[in-house]
Amino acid sequence: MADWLPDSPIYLQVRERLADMILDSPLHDGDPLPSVRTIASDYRLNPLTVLRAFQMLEDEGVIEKRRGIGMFVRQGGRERLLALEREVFRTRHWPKIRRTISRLGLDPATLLNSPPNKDQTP
Amino acid sequence: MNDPIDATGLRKNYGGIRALDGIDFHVPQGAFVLLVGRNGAGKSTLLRALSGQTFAEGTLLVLGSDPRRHPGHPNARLAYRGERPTLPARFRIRDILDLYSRVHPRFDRRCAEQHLTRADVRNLDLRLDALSQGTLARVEAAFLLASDAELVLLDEPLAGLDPLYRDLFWREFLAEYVEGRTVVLVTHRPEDVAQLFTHLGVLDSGRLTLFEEAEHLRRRYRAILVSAEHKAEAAALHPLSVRPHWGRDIYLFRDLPEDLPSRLGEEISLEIPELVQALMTPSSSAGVQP
Repeated sequence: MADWLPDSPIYLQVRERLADMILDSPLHDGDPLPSVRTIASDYRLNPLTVLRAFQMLEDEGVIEKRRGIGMFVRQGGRERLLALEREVFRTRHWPKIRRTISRLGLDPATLLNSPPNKDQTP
Repeated sequence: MNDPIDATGLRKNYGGIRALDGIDFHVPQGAFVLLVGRNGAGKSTLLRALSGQTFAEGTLLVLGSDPRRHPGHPNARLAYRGERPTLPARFRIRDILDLYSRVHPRFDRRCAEQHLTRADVRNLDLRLDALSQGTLARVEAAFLLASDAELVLLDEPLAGLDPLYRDLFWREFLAEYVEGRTVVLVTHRPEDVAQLFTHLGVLDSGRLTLFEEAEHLRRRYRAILVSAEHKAEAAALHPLSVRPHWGRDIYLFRDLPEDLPSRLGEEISLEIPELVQALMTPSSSAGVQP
């Protein structure tokens, strides 16, 4: 079963995972999303929680409801999501990363050129 | 519109024991209530009172009507599954399918047959009293999933089922059943529904000592991994529980100030079973009684 983090509500985390599915492109514009029932059943979530995540992405203009069929990635939905997520990175994540870089006395240019660490174990 | 369950001041005595000691229980439409408590706390009595199988004093409306007014006439809009079988033991599965199709206005026979097949119950000529406990639980589950109730009261419905069938039940329940219905589940396995319930109720000695929305729980209750140098400070904040974790301790708190966790240590995922266990111990529930 999926792991959920302590610091944010589950529906926000479901929204993030759906967003990742669109950005990492198993899903393209016009593609159907898995149904509320499928996600609820696969990850043992309350359908209301899943619905709330869908509604968020719908309000953000990323996905759209087609009556009687289900949810789809809108035309231009992926671009729209990319713009939203870039903004979140710039305003929320980057300032923190920047502070950490300067606190640890790291050099940004060296960091960017260093090969990514393959070892993901914490 | 009324809440599906609207109970005020429910009381019930068994001999000298107060099984229900003044319970106010209001469950909104569409809620999924996880109801926990120690053995003998009154969980089963409460569900039996709500389903009209046992009489309790107090004000009681279930789906808009008082279940005490027509004892012995089950409401087809309500489904109850208890630890003891609800289907007649001396009937064959096939006979019960016939019976339900005739007398239960909301029963979907094809749906029941599909669930039976998926649960590997294929011989419908067996009598219920010839079935193993696990097979009987699967038959009960199939009838539940096929009976289109608005309010579903479940008292340990999966006792005796192996992990694969439990998983199958929750999958079918979530994919095909739960939407639009109101559910109250009594279980000693909160991990089964950790991301599923919308409200948590804790019963202790016939009293409802806690009833809270799941989202508030995650904000109010927090688990912090505390290192040795902060243990004294953490202990002074009245944790609900403390357990060792490889040289550090996991402290469970209620209503910490926002900025404290980062100072005390690392905040970790709130484990629902652990929270439930902490809330069921008498010292912590004493703090939340009105």
